[in-house]
Amino acid sequence: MFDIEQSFSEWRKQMLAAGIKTPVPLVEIEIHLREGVEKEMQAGADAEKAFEKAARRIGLAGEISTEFDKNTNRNTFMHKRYLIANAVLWAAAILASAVIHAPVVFSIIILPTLAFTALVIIRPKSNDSDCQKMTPSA
Amino acid sequence: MIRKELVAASAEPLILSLLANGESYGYAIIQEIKARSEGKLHWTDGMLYPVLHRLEDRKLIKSRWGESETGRKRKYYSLKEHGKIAMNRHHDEWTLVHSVLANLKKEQYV
Repeated sequence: MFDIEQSFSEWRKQMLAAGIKTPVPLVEIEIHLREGVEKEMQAGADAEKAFEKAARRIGLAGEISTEFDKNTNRNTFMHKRYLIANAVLWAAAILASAVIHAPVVFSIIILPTLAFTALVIIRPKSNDSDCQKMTPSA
Repeated sequence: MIRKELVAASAEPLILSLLANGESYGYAIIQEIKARSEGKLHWTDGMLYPVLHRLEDRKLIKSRWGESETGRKRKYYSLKEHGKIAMNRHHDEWTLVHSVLANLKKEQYV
């Protein structure tokens, strides 16, 4: 006897094993899969066939994961580039303040504090923070 | 069937253009592209999500969680102002490529 929830559970395991992160984006892709299964069943397919067709259309877990990895690598690269550019600019500002004999309190305390705040304390916020509370519904 | 390299290259402009018509969600985006291309543009459904997330990371689109008519959770995507600019740039580029190609083809019949 075909158990569709068991099939969803196995599909989720495959996705997780391939490195697809949960809850986002796995939740979102599972919602898509459930919608596909529902449409197939409305068109007359039985549950097993409907799951098989919809899961095939979703694609291979490894390939999807590789595409997500490209996004992560791109973000990491952009983040590193941002940090390096910022660090260079702040170092130049501190050096310049020393060269032009700016007040010691400015060169030693104010500028380094601002640099630390810009580089370490202020961080980009995740877009998915709200979404991570969501779970799929059947 | 369109070659996969072209499918990949056209994904971003197509998604942006589709969202310019109003917010949508993954499943509907796939169905809309399939219908508009009469099934010739074939996307693997799961591959849509890395593209959507990339566009969102680049602040070209935004998303919100909502519900379908049946109460199922859904993530809806819509175009942001930067996305409109990117979409217009894509249109200019694709129009240029199309125009060069069309002119070259025309010359072959002269």
